[in-house]
Amino acid sequence: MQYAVIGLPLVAALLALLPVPHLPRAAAIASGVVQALLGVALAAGYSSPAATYEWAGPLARVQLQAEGFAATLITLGGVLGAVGAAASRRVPHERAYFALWSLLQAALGGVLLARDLVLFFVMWEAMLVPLAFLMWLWGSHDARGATLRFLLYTMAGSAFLLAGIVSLVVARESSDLALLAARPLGEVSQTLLAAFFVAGFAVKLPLFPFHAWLPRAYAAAPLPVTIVLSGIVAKTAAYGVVAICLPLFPNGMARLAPALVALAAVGALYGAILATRQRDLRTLIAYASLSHLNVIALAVFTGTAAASQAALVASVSHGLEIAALFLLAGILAQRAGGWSLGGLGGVAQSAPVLAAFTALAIVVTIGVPGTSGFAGEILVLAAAYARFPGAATVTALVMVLSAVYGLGLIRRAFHGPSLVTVRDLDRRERILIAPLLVAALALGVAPWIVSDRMPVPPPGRAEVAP
Amino acid sequence: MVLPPLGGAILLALCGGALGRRAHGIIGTGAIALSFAAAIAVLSGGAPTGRATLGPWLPLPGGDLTLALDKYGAPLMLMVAGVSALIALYSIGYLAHDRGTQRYFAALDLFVFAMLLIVLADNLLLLFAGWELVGLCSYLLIGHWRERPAAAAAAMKAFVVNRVGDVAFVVGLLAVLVERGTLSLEGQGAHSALASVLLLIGALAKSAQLPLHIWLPDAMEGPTPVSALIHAATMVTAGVVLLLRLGPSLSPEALGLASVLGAVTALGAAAAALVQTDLKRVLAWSTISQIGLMFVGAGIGAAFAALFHLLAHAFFKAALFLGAGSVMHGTDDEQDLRRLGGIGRRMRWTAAAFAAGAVGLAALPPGAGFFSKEAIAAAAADRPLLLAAVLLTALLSALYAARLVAFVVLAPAGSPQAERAHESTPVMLVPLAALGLAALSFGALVALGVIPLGRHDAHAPAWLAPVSVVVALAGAAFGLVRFRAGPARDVAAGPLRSAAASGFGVDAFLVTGGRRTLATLGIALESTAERTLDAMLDLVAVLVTRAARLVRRTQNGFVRSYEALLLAGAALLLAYWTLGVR
Repeated sequence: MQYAVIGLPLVAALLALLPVPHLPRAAAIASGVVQALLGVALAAGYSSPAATYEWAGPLARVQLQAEGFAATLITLGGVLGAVGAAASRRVPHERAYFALWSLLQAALGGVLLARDLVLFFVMWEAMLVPLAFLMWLWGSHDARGATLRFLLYTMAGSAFLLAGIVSLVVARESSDLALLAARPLGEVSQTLLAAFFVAGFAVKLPLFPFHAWLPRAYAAAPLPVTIVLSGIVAKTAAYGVVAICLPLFPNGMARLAPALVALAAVGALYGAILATRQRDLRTLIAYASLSHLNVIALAVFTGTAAASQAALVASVSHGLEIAALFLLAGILAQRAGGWSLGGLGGVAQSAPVLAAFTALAIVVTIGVPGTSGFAGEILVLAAAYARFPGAATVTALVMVLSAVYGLGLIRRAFHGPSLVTVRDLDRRERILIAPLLVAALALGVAPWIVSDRMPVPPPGRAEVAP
Repeated sequence: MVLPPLGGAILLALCGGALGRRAHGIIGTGAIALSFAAAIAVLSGGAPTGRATLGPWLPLPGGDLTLALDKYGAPLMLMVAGVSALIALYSIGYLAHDRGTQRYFAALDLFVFAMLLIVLADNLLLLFAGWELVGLCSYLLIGHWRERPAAAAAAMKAFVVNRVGDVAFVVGLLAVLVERGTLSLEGQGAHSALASVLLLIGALAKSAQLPLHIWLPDAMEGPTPVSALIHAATMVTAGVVLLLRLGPSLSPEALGLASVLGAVTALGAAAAALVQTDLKRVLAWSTISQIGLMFVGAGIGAAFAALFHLLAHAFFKAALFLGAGSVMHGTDDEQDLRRLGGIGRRMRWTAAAFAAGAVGLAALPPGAGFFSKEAIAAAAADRPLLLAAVLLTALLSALYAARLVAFVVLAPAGSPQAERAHESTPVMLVPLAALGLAALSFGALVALGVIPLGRHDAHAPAWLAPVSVVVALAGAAFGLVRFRAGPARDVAAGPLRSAAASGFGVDAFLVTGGRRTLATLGIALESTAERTLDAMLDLVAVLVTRAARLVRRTQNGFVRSYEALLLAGAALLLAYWTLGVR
């Protein structure tokens, strides 16, 4: 079953190369849907025993397994992959585009399934290749500069990650995550290695202040790619911290936690403040996303079991909301003739359904109770407050700022006298976006759908030793 | 009991488009009425005090979907559902020609659902859910006429100011969670001063108390029934409900602060109400002032008095707002006091209900406010400063209530619209009449024990009752005599008047202050931090490229250089290992 998560997108990638009209997109959508279903099955505990296959000597084994966190992210990745593919209509060179798209999905599955450090790193870097091509070749006019910066920055981070992996594997003569977790290192080396690993993940997440690539990359990449980049690729970094750093370096992460948590709290606020300044739909959503991703970072670096659970809920919520927001913003920009909020106004009058959908997506984003945004946010804050009350309090201020930028967007684009006439959402668009919003609401009313995938041990004290 | 309004909201949101305008109103009103009927049915079978868990919600201790009916639950629930149903019925007439009835009634139903959550939630988390949803619904309703920039701005302001309070609420909630290990309200012990004050700040914002009252006067941009809903039955009373339900478990510092801020707010807002020239703004400031009295009551532990005044206020303020709405409806949306007048002759029913509400507000016997304000004064009798503030507020209230009636009802018509005023339709007049009656009779019914609300056990000095009657009568009589001739004899202009009219500048100070801070911070971060980080990124890019070129001279490609860098790092670490760790 685990092989299927990676294999199916690969098949889809091959199918995409066939010269059959409509097949590439259909194959990508289908493999995304199936991947999501496989993720659900894995999360429910149906998995074949960890498949092991020696790939290049005992230090690089294919060992695939996924539970809780990873399995839920596989589902999210599948959903976003399908949604993104469905939203990629009339792309030029469609066969190449969808082949790369499916390769990206396969690599994502690999990252989330790998139970072996070397394999993890291979998949981690493999994600970058199709991503970079998609951004470089199909992006907007700024794509080259943005892609280059994204690529070099993440690779610089990866260099640290690889250095950490190599030294750990050499020192312990094993790359099996379970084995490594069972034999923790000494205090000092744990801290050092934790820092190396975190450096790799912090750029991709991105943790403040390693986010400089983000606004340009989000704005330059094609819209569906941005959705995947923000919705799921960023989450693999959070997953890396939870699944690799915390079990392998418990004491080291606890040592670094105060500094990392402080950065995350500042980043959450920083992104939100800058979002209030943006007058361009894309960069506004990009900074809002930065703010939310740092809230997730706050959770993973807090390091408790409850915090990881909170990070999972917040990750799924962010994935859903960012997909809906970017799709809606893209439709709005396409029909209004530009991404600038300055050229909009009163759109609610000509496009009431678009206005209602966007308002709902914003309500999820700013975390009103009953939506997944609130569930994620309050769980993160509660988990963080138990250990770092100061950082949690600072992060809570984001609630005010998110209202400022979120409702500001609604007000500028949709309220006031009608300045632009925009065609409303058609049936196809409604069918694409409504499930995302419904899922966000369902998750807000019943967050245990996700949080039960990763139960916190009842005493609540299975925490990292301080 | 809680679910019909939610069902109504969902139904309207999903398939409202396929239905007619009339159907929106009927579903919207029916859902609330159903909830009212269910509440009566349940309560008449003996008030249950159990709790009902509907299911799990958030994986936090005490984070389930649990409802409970405490001693404040029954009266509050009846009031919320009852008054809201009347307001919804009235809205059918008021918005008969509006195109957005689907949105309107959906938000109205959701609003009532959220308020019932606040009243019935068994844990702080669920209470907070209702708390925020109320904020969201007020955003939707205040901004109902969204094509008007002023309405859109007012809606956003209301939500953002409320969010400031909500942040405090959330942090307070987290503090409670850490201190007590659960969020359940059952058997709550004492909260720390920190948690209590934070929760109080949340209550201040929602209930429009100093210094977070600034959203309420602007909220008048919404349709008038919305103002009635926000001011009378729901939203602003939520803070009082919170204080009542948390009650003695709040720390004494927080309760003391609540009563002091309440007293200051009550006085200041009453002064501001006296000099407004906009019909709805008078009522808005009056609400702030009356809620201040409730905070005084709740802060000094006079829970009964605060609850009593809350309910009485709901009736007379709803009557006043719906009366004002009816006046505006009959005069082409004229809401300038100086251009109204003569309603007594042209809109008899409306005038009667409006006057009944004003009697309640002025605390004249037998109005509802007379008994409840009396209860608060009695409870504050041993605190001279608070008592003085309460009595002074009562005097001012009588004065501005009289001014309102004089200008709107008695004075000669001040404009052509007022001369052409016509009476509203029965669908608006029936709820208006019901609320007017309630405003007149509710106080006496409670005082005589017909409505078993409870009794206050504070022993007021014998002189208090006559004094407060005299105060109210004097204020009302002076006001009626002075202002009957019309706006020509309004409050004398002067610096004090203009200061009061602008709410003593608090609003301008906070809003421009907040905006400027955010803007400055944003610009500063944009031009320094973001630039620096960008430059750093470019530096990384350049360095990597340079390094690649450098290595390319000796090696044969970019990838190699990259690997070499990594290996160098690994080797360094390895050396460290062998030397340092083992």
